[in-house]
Amino acid sequence: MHPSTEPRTSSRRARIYLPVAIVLIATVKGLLWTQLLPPWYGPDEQAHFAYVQELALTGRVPASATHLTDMPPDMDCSTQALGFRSSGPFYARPPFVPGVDPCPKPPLNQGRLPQRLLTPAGTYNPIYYGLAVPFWLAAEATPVEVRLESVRLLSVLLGSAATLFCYLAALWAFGHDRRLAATTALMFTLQPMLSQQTAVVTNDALVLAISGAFAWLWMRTVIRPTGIAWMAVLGGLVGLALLAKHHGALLALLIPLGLLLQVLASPRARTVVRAAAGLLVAASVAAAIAVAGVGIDLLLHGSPLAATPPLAAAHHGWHDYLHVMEADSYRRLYLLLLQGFWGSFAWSSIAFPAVVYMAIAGVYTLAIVGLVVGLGSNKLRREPIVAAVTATALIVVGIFAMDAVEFKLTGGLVIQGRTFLIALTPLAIVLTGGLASLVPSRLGGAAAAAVCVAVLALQLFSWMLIADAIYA
Amino acid sequence: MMRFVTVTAIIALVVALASVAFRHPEPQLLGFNEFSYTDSGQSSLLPGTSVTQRVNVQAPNLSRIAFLYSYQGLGGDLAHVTVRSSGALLADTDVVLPATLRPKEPIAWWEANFWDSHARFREVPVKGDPGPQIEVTISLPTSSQPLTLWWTDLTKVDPAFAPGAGSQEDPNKYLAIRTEYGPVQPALLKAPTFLDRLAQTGLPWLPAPAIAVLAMLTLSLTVWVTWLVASSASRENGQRG
Repeated sequence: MHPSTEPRTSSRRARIYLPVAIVLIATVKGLLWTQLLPPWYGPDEQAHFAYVQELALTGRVPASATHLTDMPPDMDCSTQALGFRSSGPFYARPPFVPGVDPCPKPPLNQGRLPQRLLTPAGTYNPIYYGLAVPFWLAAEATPVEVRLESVRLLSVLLGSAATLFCYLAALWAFGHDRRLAATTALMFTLQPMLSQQTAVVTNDALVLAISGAFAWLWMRTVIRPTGIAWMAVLGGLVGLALLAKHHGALLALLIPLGLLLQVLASPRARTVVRAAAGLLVAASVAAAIAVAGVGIDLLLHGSPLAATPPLAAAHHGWHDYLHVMEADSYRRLYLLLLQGFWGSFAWSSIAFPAVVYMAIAGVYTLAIVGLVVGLGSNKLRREPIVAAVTATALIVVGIFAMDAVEFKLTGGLVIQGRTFLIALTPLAIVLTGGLASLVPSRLGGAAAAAVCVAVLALQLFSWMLIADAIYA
Repeated sequence: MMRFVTVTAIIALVVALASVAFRHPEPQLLGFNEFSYTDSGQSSLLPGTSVTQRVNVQAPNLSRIAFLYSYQGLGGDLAHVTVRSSGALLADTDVVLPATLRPKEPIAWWEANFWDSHARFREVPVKGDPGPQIEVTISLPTSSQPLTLWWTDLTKVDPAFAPGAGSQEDPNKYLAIRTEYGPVQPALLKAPTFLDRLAQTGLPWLPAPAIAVLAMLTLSLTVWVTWLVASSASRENGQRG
């Protein structure tokens, strides 16, 4: 089944049931992950939750620091009971035994506020944390673990929204082929690392939902040139993504790319003028939202931007960045693009066996071969696939550029594999399209089903690994 | 045809994962809080020397102990391990030490997980009824290569989480020794333990079987979507043919 040659799926089942079923999968699977990962086992979950709690109780945002300091007593006790140690992330197996409490829990409704909370999450605008406050308030009179689980539900909802947006983006990319769109969305939602990040308290979940909405509308503009209003919406989404988390700003790179593809497809003066106007509008709206965000920071924080943690002595050049990568035999690329991106759970202490990552690397290779075959033989529509490939590459390169800048400023390597998840929608389109192009048209359905089964296998395997590591 | 292939693939997947879970051996219970991975260190045990560590027994039916080591020889060398409790000998055996990788070795790319490549646990079966404490001694024959043993740094670890007193040779170091209880069985048979512990830490408004219900729902919905994907293609191909 190939998007350019096959008739569109018109069955009612595919039109109605597929998106509904996929969103249901995202939601149910999200609930499952909130159950599977014990409280605080999302990366930096304490820092994010402490922010929400402070905002809910005082209306203030916490100050920023490189480490979480002065954690509220109820959180402190809970994290210790669940296996966390003074140095932060755990690595022991099993990390805790339910019912073994090393410290007396403060009475309910007490011990919720620190003297002065300092958290790495303090560098973020309160957009995500403000959305989380109603979830915190809904469980206000309950133990801290219950409040955390309540706030986690926001991430589950955002993950479900992101999955729907991915489906819609893939519909445009594959010429409304619902089977390939469903395969893409299934790959998206069952991707193990995304499953974790949309089930724990983290602003990653908001960035993923926003980047999903952006990918949908952006793919639409690539296929069907749109008016100024659409560009304003895209610009708005870039602004919101930036406020949610800094690397969300990288979505801005895709707006000129989409407009360039429009111009290349129809190189006329009118198209060029419209693209230039669209770019101007998108940039203006994005900038306006960013400025509004700074205004909110001013009101809540007392400074124009959330304070950046103190920087180390800046004696690290671009050359040193490459040297550090080289000295480690470029192992960091493996850790970021395969291990950290596809599955390194619970504070990066649970991972798949290496052979799984190698298999994924093999799938990348197969998909690239499939893209070449598909584009060469016109099995794939050129514009959306080229757009998806370029978008993925731009975001990946952009994140590494941010990493290099951070290294130059602080000497630290801070990005994680999960940072690249904002590229997951275009990547899933690329992988699905590439793999579907590898087989003859009559076997396209089987190929799509095989991809669904493979991502299901990855999802099930991640459940097994987490259960074994945490609950043994 | 397409439906047959889909059903076969899904059954094969479930069987393969169940087989992985069945083949993976797992003791009924693991000791808790015996090693701080984040306040850890390593030091060499030289040929002809030994190290002794007292370890608390946390549950009945101690079946194995395991020590964490790194060994960059050719592999296959032996260490001698004795386990005593109140004068009784619970284990007195030579164990083979498979080699581990050096962090910089190219193969580390392929084995980049935290433990797989650089350190591993070596299990030693224990027989008999131990008291509240056991004494584990690891010694190396003079013909062996030096062996790297891992330990918790008691000067760094939060005293509330110290696993116990240090080794006889160095009171600041607690050797990374894991205790294992009950029969070693396929991990699949340990599912009730997983579910019981999950139920105690998960969403409080969901009853205990919720995790199983959510898992089955996710699985069923995904299988259904896969079915739709496969069967739609089959019908369209049929129409075109």
